[in-house]
Amino acid sequence: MSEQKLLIGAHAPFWHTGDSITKKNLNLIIAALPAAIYGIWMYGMPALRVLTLSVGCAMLWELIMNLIMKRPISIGDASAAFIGLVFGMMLPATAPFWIILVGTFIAIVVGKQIYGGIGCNPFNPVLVAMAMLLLSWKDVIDFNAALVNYDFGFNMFYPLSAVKSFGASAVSNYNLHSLFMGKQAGGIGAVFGIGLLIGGVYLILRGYIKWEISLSFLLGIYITAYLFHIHNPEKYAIPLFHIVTGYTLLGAFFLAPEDSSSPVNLIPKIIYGAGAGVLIVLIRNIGAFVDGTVFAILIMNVANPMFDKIRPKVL
Amino acid sequence: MGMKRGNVIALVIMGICIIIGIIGYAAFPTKNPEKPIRIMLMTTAGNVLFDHKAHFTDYGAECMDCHHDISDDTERPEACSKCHLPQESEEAPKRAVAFHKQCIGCHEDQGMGPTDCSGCHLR
Repeated sequence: MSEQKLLIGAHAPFWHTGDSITKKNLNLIIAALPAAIYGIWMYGMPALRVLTLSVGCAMLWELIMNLIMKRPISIGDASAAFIGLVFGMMLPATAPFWIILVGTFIAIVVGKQIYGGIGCNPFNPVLVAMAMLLLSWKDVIDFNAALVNYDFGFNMFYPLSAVKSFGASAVSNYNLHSLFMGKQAGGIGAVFGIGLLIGGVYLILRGYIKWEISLSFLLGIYITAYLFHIHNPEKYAIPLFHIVTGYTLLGAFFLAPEDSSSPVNLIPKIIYGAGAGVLIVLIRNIGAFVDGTVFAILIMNVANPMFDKIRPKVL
Repeated sequence: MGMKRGNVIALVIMGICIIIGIIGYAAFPTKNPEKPIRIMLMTTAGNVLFDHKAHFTDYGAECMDCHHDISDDTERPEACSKCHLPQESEEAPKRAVAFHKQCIGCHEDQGMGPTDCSGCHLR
């Protein structure tokens, strides 16, 4: 197996926690587990099979690409496992197996490996896959349609779909605390707000994600949603509603701060995070999609290389 | 060339995950409840999420109120889509006409529930 580096896809400045890649990715997985386990507890086997198949397939695609490209085997760094886990967490529990095969292929092969592997991907691989699925098989990711056979005793109408279709009055019967505690329809690991928050705070305290991105991301959502809400309270939901629904908290702590697709300096990080937050609410409130998290962060990924040119400095 | 220990562990985890996933899909097929809880009606004018359970538990609707082809409640009703096809047929009114008539008619009669397009059709 060739150890020779064919391409070096990196540019300064760099940001380092002092840990190995494997340790960092294992910590990311640990931080995501509370929300994932909640999803398994809620949906049972359907959620378990989606998450395990997603993790396994992501690792398998990584291994296959390593062998095809004659590169060192890299599944041991847990990067592919983390990508598979987060991808699975964004899917409904009823996701068919083929969507996992296709999605993990797009994430690992198209989103990561063709750029040179870990650290070289300009976009978050999970979001590349989700964007493709949302554009190609929208009905499979439609949580209202996917979860019609589940009844947990709380309102299973996907909250973001309700507010987009019927206005803020339609979501007045949703309790913010219940939504935050995971009592809502959505992705397997995207609904348990408190679990995602605990995981996110853990990652911030350990230095694995950049808190400036998460905070500015949430503030961007809050302020933009607030402006919409005071403009038309009957049509647009309150800011906290946007914080605790959809992929918001998953995006704030597990998607937006992805290493190679996010900036490292203070001002760029704030612009990147806040920009994604603003775009999410714009897409949700006046855009074509129910949840804008996937496309908003991808758009900021595109702009990311330019952000780090703003007042660059050595870290 | 020997594999690194981390890669060997990852290979084992990968195998376990894939096996659990395959068994999960093969041995635990998705079962639909006897009485549908919610039904997503796919339409070109925006899908409609029909809360089937709420209609017979919260709103007091009887099976016969909508499933007009059964003689009593002990008989299992047919799905609406079995007779009401998306296109015109001689057997029954087409699906869109039947649903609009049934839903809006009942909502108007009962004085509750939406009667305008945006009250049911999702964006």
